[in-house]
Amino acid sequence: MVRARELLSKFYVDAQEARPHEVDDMNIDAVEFNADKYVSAMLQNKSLDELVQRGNAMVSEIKNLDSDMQMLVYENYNKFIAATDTIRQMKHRVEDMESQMSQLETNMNTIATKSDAVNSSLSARRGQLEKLNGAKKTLTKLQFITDLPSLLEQCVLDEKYEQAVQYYKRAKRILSAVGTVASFQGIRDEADLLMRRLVQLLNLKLQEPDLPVEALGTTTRLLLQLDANEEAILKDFLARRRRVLLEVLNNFPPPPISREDASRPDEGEGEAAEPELDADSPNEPPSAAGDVRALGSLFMPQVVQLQEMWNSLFMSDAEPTVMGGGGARLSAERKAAMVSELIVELTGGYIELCRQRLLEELPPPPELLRGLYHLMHPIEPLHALLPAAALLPRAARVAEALGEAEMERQLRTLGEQVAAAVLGLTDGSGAVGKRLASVEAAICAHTQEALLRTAPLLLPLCELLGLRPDGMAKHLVKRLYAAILDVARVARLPTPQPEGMLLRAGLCLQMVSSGVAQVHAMLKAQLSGQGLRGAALGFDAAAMVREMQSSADALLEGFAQKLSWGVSKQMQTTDWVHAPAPREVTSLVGAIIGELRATQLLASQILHGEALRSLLPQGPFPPTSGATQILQQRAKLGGSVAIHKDLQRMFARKISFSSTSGHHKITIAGMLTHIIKLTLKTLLEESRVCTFSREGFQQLHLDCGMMRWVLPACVEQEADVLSLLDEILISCQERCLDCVPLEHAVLQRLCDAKRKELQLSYS
Amino acid sequence: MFEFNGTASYQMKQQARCLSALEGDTDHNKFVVCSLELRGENELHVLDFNEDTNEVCCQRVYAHPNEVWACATCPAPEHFDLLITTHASGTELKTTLSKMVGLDETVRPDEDSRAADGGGQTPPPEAVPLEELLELPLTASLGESRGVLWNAVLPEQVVVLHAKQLRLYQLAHGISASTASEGISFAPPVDGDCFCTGRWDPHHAHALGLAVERTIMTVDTRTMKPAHTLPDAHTQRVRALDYNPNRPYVALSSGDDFAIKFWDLRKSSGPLHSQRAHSHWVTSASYNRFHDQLVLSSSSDSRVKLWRVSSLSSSPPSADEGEIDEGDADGLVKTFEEHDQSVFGTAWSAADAWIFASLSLDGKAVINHVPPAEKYKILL
Repeated sequence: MVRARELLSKFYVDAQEARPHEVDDMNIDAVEFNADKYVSAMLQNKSLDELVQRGNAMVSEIKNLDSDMQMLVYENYNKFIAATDTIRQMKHRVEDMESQMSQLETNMNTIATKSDAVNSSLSARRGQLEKLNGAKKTLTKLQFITDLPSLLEQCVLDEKYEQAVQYYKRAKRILSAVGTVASFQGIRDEADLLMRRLVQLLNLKLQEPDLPVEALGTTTRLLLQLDANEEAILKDFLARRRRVLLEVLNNFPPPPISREDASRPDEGEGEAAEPELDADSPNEPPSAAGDVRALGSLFMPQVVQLQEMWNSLFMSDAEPTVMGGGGARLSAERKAAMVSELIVELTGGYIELCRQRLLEELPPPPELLRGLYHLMHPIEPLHALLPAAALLPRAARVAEALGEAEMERQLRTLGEQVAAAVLGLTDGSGAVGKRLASVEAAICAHTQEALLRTAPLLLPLCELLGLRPDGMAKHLVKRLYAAILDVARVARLPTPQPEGMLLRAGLCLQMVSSGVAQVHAMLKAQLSGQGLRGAALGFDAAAMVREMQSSADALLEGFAQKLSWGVSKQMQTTDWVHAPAPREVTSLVGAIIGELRATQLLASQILHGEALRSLLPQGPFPPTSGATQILQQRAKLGGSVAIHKDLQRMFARKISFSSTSGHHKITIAGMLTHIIKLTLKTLLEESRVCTFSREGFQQLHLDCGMMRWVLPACVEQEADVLSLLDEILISCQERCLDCVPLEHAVLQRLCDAKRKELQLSYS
Repeated sequence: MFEFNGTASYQMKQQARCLSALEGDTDHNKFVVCSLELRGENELHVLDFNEDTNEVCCQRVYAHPNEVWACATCPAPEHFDLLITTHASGTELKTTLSKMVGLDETVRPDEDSRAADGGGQTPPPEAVPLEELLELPLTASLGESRGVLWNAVLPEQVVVLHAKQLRLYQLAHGISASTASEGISFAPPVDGDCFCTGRWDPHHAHALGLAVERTIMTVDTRTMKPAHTLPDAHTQRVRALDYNPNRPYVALSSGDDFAIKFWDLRKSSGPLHSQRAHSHWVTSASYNRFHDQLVLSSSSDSRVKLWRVSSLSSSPPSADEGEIDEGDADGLVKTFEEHDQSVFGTAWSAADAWIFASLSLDGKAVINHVPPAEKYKILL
């Protein structure tokens, strides 16, 4: 504690001296701090809690101070160690240096004495030799200069421009040395004149429209040596090349003959490199890949040539020009930049042109692959020359995008085809079973087609671009999955016709039973052929089956609800209080039975191999049910609430309305049972909100009687249906103002009439 | 305190469709059940659920002359004994404002009578007459009642909803008599369509949510102009609507297509969530009064179900707490299978957030708790 305080007070000493000195023996950080006084003050003024708090706070402060101090000491110690090391090293090195220095000194002395000896022995004859040599040189130069004009003229006449420039360059140096002498002046003027004419001649030559590229290069180079304005000349050169090359691009695709001509010279090389990709013959009709290939072989070598020529002609020398003298020289970087700018522009134009060509035609995959190969291949030499411009990666990106666009397009087409197939299901005609099978087959065929169009693209494309094929394969699988899953989604779209829902449910079931597996097998076959079996695992067939199944369930339930809805509407719009006395079974029953029959027929074509149960009344008319008997008794007795309660309990039966999907095996009878149960349940609930007159009740009694005759035979859970019918009757009775059931005989007569009518209409 | 999660039930002798919490009384778990008997005496039972003993007893019985198709209790605490019923006289529907006289008198059955009953259900007290205050002059044909909607925000406003028409009333309660001034009427926008159900918006005092056949719409009751419309919200008739108590514009609906759907009323593009809830009509669906994660639904398949929809609630599960465990995902909390008949009414208690009642057509009222596990999941 004391130590820490000292340290702290040293630390704070400056700050304290700056302030007017005031005695503060209660400040724990002050020099004058009086510990005893502080403690006693604390003991007096603070509560126990506060004291404990203060005590704890102090302990933690002390700990902090201690650790800070340790840190400081440690850091300083570290620095000290480092300093000692450095000093030791310095000392060691200086000792070494001393011995070396002394050796150096002796060596230098030896060299000095030897050199003196050589000098003295040679000095006598050297002066004369030098003189003679100088005279000979001068004579040779003189000879050259007097011959210069005629030499130059001869060279220009012989079109040996390069030679002329060489001579001129040499003469120029000599002349500039002796330029003041009058006789040389004449020669000089003559030579200058000749050279100016040469420049004019060269400039004229540049204007020639079909000057070969090599000539253009050499001419420009000569001009450069003669003329000082390097930038202007080089720019002019580049502009000329640019114009020519852009023209090549703009005129593409050329008329067939010239294209073939152009492609021929390069043919041998291309085929040697990649024979299977280069298999197209020159006689083939113009195609995107062919065009790309032709363009690549026509255009890119010229670009490569441009770069090579530039490097060999303009980049190597730094010799001064001969005529202008003081013109601006360009740095090598600047020149490299000038040409690479143009090359990037030209190559970019080339890539873009190829891309457009391939996009506009959208050739089949092998063709596209060939096109991409031809797009990439010619860029390779250029990339080797100019790696900084990243031309190959740029082309690769374009090629990848094209490949993906193609894949995307194929799968989109697949998605559209599949959706159209599903939606077309309801519009088709002919046997339902055949329609379903054909739609499924169509989906499989479309999938196969899409796979054939995309899967073979994967491996070569990735090889070409230097990518791992897994990623692209996974993408393909994902997209394919989504496209097939669309069947389930599209199937759930609302349709105006109820039977459409049933048909789509059938399709989903078909996909569950075979379609999904087929698609999966196709995918596996395609991908494992390329060693991409792993990617095929991304296709979760089980999840898709579940999705299809749930779509089918939803559709079936939606279908079942539609019939219920019709019953609801009918019940709500009927005025049961003012109904006339029953004369026949109402159209409600006819409609229900008709719908059920249609459903059964449709379902039989979707779910095969099940005997259909008849929807006509079977056997004799059923005897009066227990519920009806009690109703009749009750009508005679005059009701009491208690009796009716018991009645209700007697027939109450908790019926499950969960759909058949729980079993996962959908049968026609099961489906029909489900629909009938839901319909009857709806009828029951609707009857519970109506109020019936005697006639209204009798009408419903009759309708229920008819259904009691027809329905039990064609369902699986007969007891449930009977119980529902009883419940309807009981509920009606509860909602009836004056309940008198029909006589059994009357019931039977009217129902029999309906039976005959049904038989007639179905035969 | 000991936690009861048992079930208590009460059996009426008559059929019944209408169940309502006693909205004005936030101290007791009281519910009103109205009978539906075409030919016979109809009654109105006030049930009191005692949390401590887990018992339900009938506190009062009022005689009601006609079968009751719709009822609503006054949400204002000062008039907690007021009640509006729509009832059928046999030829037409009438709507009456009545007072449940003596409701606040605690009539506890004495021990003797309970013992005499052998520990079973305590027999209900003798029926006393309701004090009829006022008849609202809107009548309709039988079977057209679609509810009485008492505005909880402005308790003087009541909408009587019939299939072909709704009318807004402004109530005023004097010392001697109550009066009702007629407000605007409104008919379904398309001729031939029927209103199905309605609900006041708790966030906007004048907004009323309505279902017309399969469409959900909201109207401003000051002008009766439609505000939001969700066409073809369900594939069948809509049965119930409820507003989220905490999030404005979020509502749920249930319908004859067995589904409960959750909506942002401002977005007509589609539901936020759709849940196939039951195997027949979903007759009612309502949010818990405080915890909008909980939704109670009932169905004519005689089941009552409690659902969890945390993702659409005012306090959705935060994504940064790692993966949501299985028990916190949206879905079914519990199915209550005490009823043997179609359930048409459910109501959350006005006093306790975790207690609710359901009523089946055979007159059986069941009072249940939210399972404690679920309750602690929400509270903790």
